[in-house]
Amino acid sequence: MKKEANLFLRLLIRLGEQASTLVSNVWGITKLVLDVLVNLPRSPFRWRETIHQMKVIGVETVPLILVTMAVVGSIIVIELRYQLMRLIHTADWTPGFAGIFFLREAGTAVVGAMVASRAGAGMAAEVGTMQITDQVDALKLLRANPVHYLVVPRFIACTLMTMALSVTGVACCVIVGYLFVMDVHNFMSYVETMRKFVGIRDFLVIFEKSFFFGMAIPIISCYYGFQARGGAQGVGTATTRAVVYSILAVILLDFLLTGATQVVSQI
Amino acid sequence: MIRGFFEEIGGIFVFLAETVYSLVRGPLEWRETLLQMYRVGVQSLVVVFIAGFFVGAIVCIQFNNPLEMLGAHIYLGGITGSAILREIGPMLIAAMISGRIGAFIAAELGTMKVTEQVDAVRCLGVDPMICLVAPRFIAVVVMVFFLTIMGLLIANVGAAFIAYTLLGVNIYYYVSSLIKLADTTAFAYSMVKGFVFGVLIATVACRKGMTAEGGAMGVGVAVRSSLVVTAMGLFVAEYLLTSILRVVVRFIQMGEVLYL
Repeated sequence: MKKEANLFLRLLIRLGEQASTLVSNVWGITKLVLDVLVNLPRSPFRWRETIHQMKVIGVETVPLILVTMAVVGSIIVIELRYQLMRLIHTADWTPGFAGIFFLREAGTAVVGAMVASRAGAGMAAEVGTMQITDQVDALKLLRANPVHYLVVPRFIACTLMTMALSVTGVACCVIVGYLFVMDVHNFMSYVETMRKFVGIRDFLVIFEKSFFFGMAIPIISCYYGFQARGGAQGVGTATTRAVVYSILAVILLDFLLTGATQVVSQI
Repeated sequence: MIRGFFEEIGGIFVFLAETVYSLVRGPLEWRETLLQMYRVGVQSLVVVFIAGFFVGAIVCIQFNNPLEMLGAHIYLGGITGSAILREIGPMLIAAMISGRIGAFIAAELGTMKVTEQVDAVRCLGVDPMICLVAPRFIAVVVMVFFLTIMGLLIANVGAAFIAYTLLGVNIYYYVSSLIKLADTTAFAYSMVKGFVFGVLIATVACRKGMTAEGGAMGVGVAVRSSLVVTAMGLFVAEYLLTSILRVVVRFIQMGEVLYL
């Protein structure tokens, strides 16, 4: 009897610990968001650092995005073609279905996840190394705000570059997807079929979603970077957490934005 | 760059062969393997559940509009479930695990390597492949397989939930088309994919950790390149497996037709 009560108590304590960690992390991220928004318009604007970050986050991720999105585009088209052949016994509508997935999901969520796992890991490792080698404290001693100095340039660069990479990724998907319906469509009819299902609205959805993803990734990555404690192990843990929670944030934001669009369109 | 690409692929296969050889040769460390299984599997369960539920919901919402346009609304359950089982589910679980576990293993083994703990293990007369790599390899392969199955279940629940509440689809139509279109073949696809992705994640993460060089910076480089290589490898493996499995399934079906 006593042992069971003990077990129950331990379970309760463990749940409480988990919940308090969750609440403190959410609160910390909210504080960082507000901090970034307050520091965003403050001068001086760090042009050189922002452009350097744009190069690191954007330009160096382009090969990864191109390869990934080429494969994603071909998988989506092959799979949808197979499904539609089974359901409506024609492959003619494949580009339309594929276009919806390219523009609304693949171009935004997959690119967001790739940016999170490459640029997010890089940011968390960099900020985490600065944190455990006391460089962040050195910045504070020099009366430079670490959020303004470290997070704001990454925030601006990542937001802009995620949007640019999303458009690149969608273009790559559409071009590669054409190769797998070449036997039933020429390029004009491919695009025309796609136009029947997706419009300028879906093109704007790319920017809407990638804007939010691009803002979420640097904030979460830098937050876990600042949380790093105790040596190289700590930086490793911070990087892992940053990647996982960035991808999770991308999925949750994607769900919220998709659901909101759906609800609005139903009204 | 091209040379580096091929060296990477070759290195991964050589490391995989060495790992399998050490599994065949040495006694497996059960205690360590169970500990790693707990860390890989049980502690990732919450993340996998949350991600699976919401991704299933997203796929369902996106399939709803075009199917409504074509008037094929009753197939929503089948097409969503089939897409989740074949492609999205295994891919998603593998991506979450590679971010969580792959990066962690690379960081841990990399730290051991650059602080010369791996050499210390070798000095004690123990093969680091057997005592460090093999337990992690087994744990990741087994646990990714089971997490994939759990994640698929949750993703289908998420899709059905959103179809019922938000989209107003009749749940009986949903389930009946799901049973008709997402058959055993689709489930076999997802299990094969789960196994191969587990092998890929484990191999790349362990290899990047064991080849880390040059201090704390080296560990960071190992973690980041492990993430990038795994992500790219997953997509390429997905594409190859989809093509190969389709041919295999066609041959099996042809054989059945001939035999009967």
